[in-house]
Amino acid sequence: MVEQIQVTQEERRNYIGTSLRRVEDKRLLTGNTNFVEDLRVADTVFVAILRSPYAHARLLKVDVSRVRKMEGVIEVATGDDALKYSQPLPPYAISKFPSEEYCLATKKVRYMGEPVAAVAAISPELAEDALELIDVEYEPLKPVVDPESAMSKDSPLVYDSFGTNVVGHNHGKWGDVEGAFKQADVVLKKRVGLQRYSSTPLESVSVIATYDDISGELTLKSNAQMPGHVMMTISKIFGIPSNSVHLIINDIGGGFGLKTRPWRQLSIATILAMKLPGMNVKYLEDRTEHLSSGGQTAGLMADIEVAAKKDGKILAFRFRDINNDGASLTYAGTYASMHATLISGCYKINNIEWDSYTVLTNECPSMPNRGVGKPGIVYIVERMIETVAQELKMDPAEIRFRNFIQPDEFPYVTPSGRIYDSGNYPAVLKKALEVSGYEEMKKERDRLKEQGRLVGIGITTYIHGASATAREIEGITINIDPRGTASVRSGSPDMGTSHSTAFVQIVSDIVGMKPDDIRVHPFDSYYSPWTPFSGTHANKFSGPDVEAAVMAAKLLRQKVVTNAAAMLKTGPEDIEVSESVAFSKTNPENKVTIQDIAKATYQNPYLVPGKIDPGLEVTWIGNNESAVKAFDATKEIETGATHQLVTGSGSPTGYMTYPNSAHVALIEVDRETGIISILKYFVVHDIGNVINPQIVQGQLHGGVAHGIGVALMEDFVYDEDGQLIASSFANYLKPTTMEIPNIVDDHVVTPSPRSSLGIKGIGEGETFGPLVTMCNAVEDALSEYGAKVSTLPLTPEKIRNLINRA
Amino acid sequence: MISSQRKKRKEVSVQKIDLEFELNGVPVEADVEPRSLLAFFLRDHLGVKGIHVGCDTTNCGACTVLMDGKSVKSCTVLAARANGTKVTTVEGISSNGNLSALQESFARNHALQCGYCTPGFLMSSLYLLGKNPHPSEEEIRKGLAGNLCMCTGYLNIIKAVKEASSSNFGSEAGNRNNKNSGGS
Ligand code: FES
Ligand code: FES
Repeated sequence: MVEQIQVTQEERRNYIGTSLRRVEDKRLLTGNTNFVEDLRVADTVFVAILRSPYAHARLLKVDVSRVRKMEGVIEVATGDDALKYSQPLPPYAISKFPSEEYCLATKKVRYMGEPVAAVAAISPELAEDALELIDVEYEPLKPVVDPESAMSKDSPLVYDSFGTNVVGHNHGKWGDVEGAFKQADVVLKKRVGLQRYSSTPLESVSVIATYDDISGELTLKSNAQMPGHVMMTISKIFGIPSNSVHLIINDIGGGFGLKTRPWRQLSIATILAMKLPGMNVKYLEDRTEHLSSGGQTAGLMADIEVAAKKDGKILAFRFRDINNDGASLTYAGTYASMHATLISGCYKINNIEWDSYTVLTNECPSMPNRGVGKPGIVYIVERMIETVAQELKMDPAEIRFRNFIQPDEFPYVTPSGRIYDSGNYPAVLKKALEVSGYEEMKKERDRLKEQGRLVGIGITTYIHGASATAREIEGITINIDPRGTASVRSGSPDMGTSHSTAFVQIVSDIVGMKPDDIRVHPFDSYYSPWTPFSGTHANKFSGPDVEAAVMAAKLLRQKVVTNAAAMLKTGPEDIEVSESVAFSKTNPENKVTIQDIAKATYQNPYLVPGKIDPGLEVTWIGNNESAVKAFDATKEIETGATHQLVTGSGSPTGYMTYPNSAHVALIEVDRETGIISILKYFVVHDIGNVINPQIVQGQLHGGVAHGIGVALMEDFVYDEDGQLIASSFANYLKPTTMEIPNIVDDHVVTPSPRSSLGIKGIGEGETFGPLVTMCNAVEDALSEYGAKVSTLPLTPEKIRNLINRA
Repeated sequence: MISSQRKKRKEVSVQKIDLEFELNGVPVEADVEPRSLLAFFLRDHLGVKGIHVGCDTTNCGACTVLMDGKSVKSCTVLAARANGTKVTTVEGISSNGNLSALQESFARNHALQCGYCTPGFLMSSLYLLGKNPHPSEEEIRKGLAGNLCMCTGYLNIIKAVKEASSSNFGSEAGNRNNKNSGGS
């Protein structure tokens, strides 16, 4: 039915594709915000959490009798309350082991920073003071920090009942790997690793929980970025019907994945709220808490073996990866599974063997972070290609051209069963070489090297997976009210991602309204549609969120057109709508405003002669059906598809769109200090059509900056006792204005056939490039030493060691 | 249920000190615990929304305010120190809902995404422009090196400050700083 709608307006776009100014900005610029910390309500108690100082210990006693007597303390919660009020925290990807983890520790603590008890007091300061009056007895146990040791038989166990720390294993073998290795001219081995890191949203997790024991309603005002998962999970953990969980999400100070699964924070606040019905229980996680227990990426170590021909053609590769997901099942296994998603990158390599282990250790639980395991697999494949190029003394651009999937090979089915939608990888790299003046840059590098300077060029080309996994659906409601203004409610909250502006652009163009007449409302589970997937993650906005918005806008336009035609006494095919006015195409003077249409529609619909549609509201839940169906073909051969246990069934990790990028950088290494300066940085990407170029560029800048941080400085260092060394921004270093170079960007446009607007995703992807680009550039700069890089970050100390060792 | 909980909220006696200062041009009188930090006092007691706490260890600058025209990280300043000073937060830099030239430039250049860091960047930029109305890119980078932004990658912020400074912004910032320290 939807397909039959004639929408001429969308061809005539006034807003999609333009840099419309953000509708979000004015509030944010004037401090007129509603971050959870900004909300002040009566009857509030403040939460402080007592956390384990040990990485691994038996919990012998948690005695709260002294703290209960402290003036100003209203309520206390411990592991016993967790057992009484809640279910264990659910795993997301691994179903083999039963979860034993509660939001507050019971029996054992498994990482430094694990919540042990919580206090609600009349002020945040008193709550913090009160923690000293909780008496805890621990019996320290030997922790396991190194994931490889965690795999050995005699390792301490993070969860005793599992009998192992290895909770996940994937194996895939495609093509004729042995045969290909036999035909190779060169066979090379390489070990690469990625540290544990985080995009560290500047605002930590926060929540105000309120429980009404008469109605049984739980209200959570939180900055969670995935309302769908929160609704599914919190209702399950607490046995509260989901229609009684009132989740309100106002402003979110960045998310990057770290706010997708705040189960511990939300659950602790909820337990206290259930013990204090009617009170507003406010918890603001502080920075140290966020860094030590709010979630980190899974650490990665991979051993790669690659077979290539002399001409640079990669014949095959095999790799074994170990993923350190920390001390929890809640997200374990997902980083590893993503490796299958982009297994051969943008290259035509059909003989691959993958052997992957997910391991628990006594470190912070893993959490999604901007791309999850995608940066890991990009790092593996791209560092492998670079190694082959170096061995063959081949230009790093040239080897990539020789291995690219060609533009006429789409849709392209990868060995692991993912189907790439579209792309033109050679064109993207070609443009990157042009824009960066690559040939000139090489001469400049050589000239500077002759002067004794350590200058190097790094190149990388890779694909992202975007627009969410193929089976995810989203909901949206668009309503034109009796006074003619439009409201948009989506299950996908804005966390700095400019959703409101993009929705305004889409609704403006498709319905035919002025942007000023449209307002996007914050998520509220009582009024916003939601699905289990609702949220902002996996570059999802460009997928189901936009598809739902386009569908709903088309249906709403149809209602507007029907009613306008009745009022203007002409046929619907004669109606055009633009800038909140509907008019006859044949006689443009015959017109009516949307405001008047709304008035007639709501106030006297049955008095208007002709066919009229009472009410101007559409709710649409779904995704682009034909896009999603494209994945049925390979669902049997998909490997590593373990997601969505929360929703009760596994789901493939094939993405709706596959954007791609080429990064080129020129860097200089200071021989004395080991400090890296980025002299030039170029990004060319293909994300198909764009809704708002300025916003896209902002995402690109932010992504590259984060990638540079990971490449050069960010590292959650643990000592052998499992103590986190980097527990504040003083030692978990983030890039500042001093480190981020100016970035030149350009675009190639290959619209995605799976998107009704021809778009692909942006947000995660540009964070991956610098990880590889910086390594490649450093090896180029240090070529006189023959230095090889295997892990990040490239700290001055590490660089000096590379120089000194040579 | 609520009322019984309310009864549990006994008054807690802590020693407090008197505080008088000017917040965005409005005189404020309050009493405050001696250990109270300015950021938390402004946010939790006075309801200032333009103070964000991204770290509480002087690393992120999200809590930056002007105190007598100088930028300070309010998470590491005792509230008591505000006594007798003029404090400006982001709420005090636009008038009647009209954005200042700097705020306009931030919007025009897409210098904010989530906006959590934005008040801090605006205050640091104002301080910088007050001292140096026409800073070079390098000077802007140095002037803002104490503020972290996790979303934008800084480039558009630098551009926004640059653009604001080349419109006749310098005088505006200078006036504001003078006003704050001079007492209007
Ligand atoms: S909150 Fe004050 S510097 Fe971070
Ligand atoms: S805009 Fe999000 S931290 Fe700066």
